[in-house]
Amino acid sequence: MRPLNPGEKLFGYLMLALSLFLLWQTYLIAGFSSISSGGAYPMAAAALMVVSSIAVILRNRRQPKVEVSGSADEWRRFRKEVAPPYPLLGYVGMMVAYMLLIEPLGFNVSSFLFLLGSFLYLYRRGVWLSLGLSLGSVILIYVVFQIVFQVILPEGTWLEPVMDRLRG
Amino acid sequence: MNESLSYFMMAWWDPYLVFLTAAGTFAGIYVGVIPGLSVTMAVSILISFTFSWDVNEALAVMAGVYVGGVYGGSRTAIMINIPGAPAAIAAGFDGYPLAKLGLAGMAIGVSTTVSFFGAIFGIIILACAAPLVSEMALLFAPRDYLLLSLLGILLIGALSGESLAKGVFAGVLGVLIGTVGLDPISAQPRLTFGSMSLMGGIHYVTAMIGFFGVSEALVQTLDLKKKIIKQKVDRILPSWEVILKHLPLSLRCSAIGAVIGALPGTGGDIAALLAYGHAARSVKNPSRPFGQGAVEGIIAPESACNAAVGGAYIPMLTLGIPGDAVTAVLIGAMYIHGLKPGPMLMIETPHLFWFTVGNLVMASIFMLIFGLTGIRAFAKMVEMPPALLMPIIVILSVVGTYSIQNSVTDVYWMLAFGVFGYFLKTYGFQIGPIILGVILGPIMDINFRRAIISAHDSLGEFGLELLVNPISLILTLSTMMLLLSQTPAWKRRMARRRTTPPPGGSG
Repeated sequence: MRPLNPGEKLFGYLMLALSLFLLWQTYLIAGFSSISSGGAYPMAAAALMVVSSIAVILRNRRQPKVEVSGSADEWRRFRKEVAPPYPLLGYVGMMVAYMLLIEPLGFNVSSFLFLLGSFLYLYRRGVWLSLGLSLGSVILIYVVFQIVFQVILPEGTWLEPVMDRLRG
Repeated sequence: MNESLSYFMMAWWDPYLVFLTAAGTFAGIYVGVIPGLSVTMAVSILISFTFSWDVNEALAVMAGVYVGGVYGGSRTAIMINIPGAPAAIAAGFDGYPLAKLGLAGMAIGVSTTVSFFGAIFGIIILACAAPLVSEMALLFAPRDYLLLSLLGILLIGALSGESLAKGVFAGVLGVLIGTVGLDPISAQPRLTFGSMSLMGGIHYVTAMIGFFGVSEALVQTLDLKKKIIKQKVDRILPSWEVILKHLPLSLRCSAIGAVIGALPGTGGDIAALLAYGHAARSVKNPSRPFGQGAVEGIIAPESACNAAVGGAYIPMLTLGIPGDAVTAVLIGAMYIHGLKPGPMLMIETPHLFWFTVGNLVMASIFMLIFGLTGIRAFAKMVEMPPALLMPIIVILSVVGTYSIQNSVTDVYWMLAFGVFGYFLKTYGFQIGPIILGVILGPIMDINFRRAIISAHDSLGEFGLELLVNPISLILTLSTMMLLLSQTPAWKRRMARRRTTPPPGGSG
């Protein structure tokens, strides 16, 4: 058996909490009214989820622990191995910003900004190279998806008036 | 017979039809490769171009796209551990470990060759036994679909993870994600938390792209300075020795694929998993342990999911019932062209049946050609630094998710699934069962309800029905066996047996 990763035990309890919450929510659909009701099947699934998450917790207890000297140390390892601020958390933050900007800025502009930011943040080989790579990628994606496959993507609510004025 | 043969060859004599089949196959492969563009989507998009065309031309393109698309999904599963389609999930179990060893070229070569075998096998079944198989498929009752789907989820849970508990947890989580939205029978909202946008449910492609694409991008981001593995692509075509050695396995798995493909509602995804499960149980000495780069672990699912294509055409052409999502789109397209798939199709337009068979064979040949030629360029993809590849994958994931139903909310869900999936992966949970749960959950739900209603809402009667019908009995016993084989007591017994070989046996 592999040793536990930092935070694994806590994650087990969180999953149990999640499954208990889902069991309660599925119970609210139709209660125990009938076995062919809309709620019976999800409720059975959620009950199975509770049982399996308890089994996971019991298994975690048996798994060998890594030498740690208390919860402060485990937190330090969690920050280092599982969720380091650079690059992981910063990158998740960039993704969140990207997805929030898709609607106002449109797919092409927001994707270009996201690619540029990601290359600068992760690849770190100078501004011009990142600029060229992100511009090239966005143009390629535009040609393949919007022109060839005619996939509809958001045009951007903020840019619409500007584009309208440009079109005259 | 002569007439059938001339219909069969119809597409082969017309250079334009040959070109269209080739173009369709090529497009299918490369659309199937892109995670986020599913085969269903590829077929739907490309078919919309064919509405104004001649019937034969449209059918040629469709056969090509379907055959190419099903095959294409495994590429990215092998290369970057992000399956292009649900049917390719199983191909990644052993394909990705091989790519990590620098053997992606070999893995794709094997996958292409057995995909071709599987596809041809499925077509032979379609040509020779279509009426027989479709009659058999009709014998499957709702409870059998329930059992079959349950078996698929349990198999992947048991085979792919560290423990059955984690596999079951992941599978059931997927099932619950699949129940979000309006109940298909009573239209009651379930797990929507009062939100309007959740009423329509969460599409399985959203979950697949999030859990596979985005979470893999996060995992790879963590390891930016990882040494890039140079891929050996000097020998792509597997040797005859390898092919002949694994031919029996490939044939067995193709048979599984053709039958599962022929069942209405189940397609390449379950077929690939059941075949993988079959291989993991039946192959005694794999080239490497399963899950660490066994060639058998690629051969089994790839034979099966490509054989499922021919299988899926059977109920479509003979009964007018779609075998999977793609054939559902194809049926729609056939209606637009004025054809009526169903029992009368063989009587009214027999040439169409043999024309389709001929087309599928040709598409499979093109799949083999295009599959074996593009590998070098593809292997470069794995050699790209993750800092460049991963942001592009995030963008493709957004395109794939948004285009399903033009909704930004789906994109937010995808991101949430991606982050959640990252933690699940870190703590040893498998992603595969979740996706299978999302896909099979609704099938199980509706068939469970039908089965229970037909058993007059009585659990006792339902239990009895599971045992008296031969098909149900076989499936029930298989499910029981699978669960039993995962218990600690059984594992101890098997371990004891392995350590003390029978006298006289070579082990």
